[in-house]
Amino acid sequence: MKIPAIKQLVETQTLESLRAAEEQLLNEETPAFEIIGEDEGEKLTHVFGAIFILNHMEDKGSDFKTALREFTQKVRVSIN
Amino acid sequence: MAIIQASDADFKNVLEGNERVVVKYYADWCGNCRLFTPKFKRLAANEEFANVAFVDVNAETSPEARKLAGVTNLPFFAVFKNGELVEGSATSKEEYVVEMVRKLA
Repeated sequence: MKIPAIKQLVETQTLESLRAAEEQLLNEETPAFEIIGEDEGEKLTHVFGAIFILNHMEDKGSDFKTALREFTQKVRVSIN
Repeated sequence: MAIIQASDADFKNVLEGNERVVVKYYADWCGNCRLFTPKFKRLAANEEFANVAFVDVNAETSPEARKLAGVTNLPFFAVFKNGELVEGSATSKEEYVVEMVRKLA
């Protein structure tokens, strides 16, 4: 997982376009925009991260750094 | 066989109630975990593994189950026999998981 890749998606995409990309990746289709990632799984992780962050910013009124911290905390907790 | 969804609340019961168990540890943020979902379902439906219980555990919300297998990355697969951990590995390769499950036979 690469944080800059998630940040780029947050800055350039909408929730709608990210959800469309999620569906396309799950259906083994090519998303309409470039997603950085070594494979489809990492690309999908970046899309999930961007969706989580945009939702967090919208629902909680948080800034990007706060939402990113929440996301990376979820990741750390899962594999600690 | 249907995949069992387990958590810390019932994970030990699942291990005690099934002689052979393969666990997929996943998280909602994990792309490779999601991509592995249809493969895991296919393995669970495979007659060759009819005597194996296939279990999904959300690693983010089940720390005790996670620690029993020593999860280091996701997706992480662990095989248990008679309640004891036989092998665990972080991988997205279906063939690797198949070989792990075959060791349980």
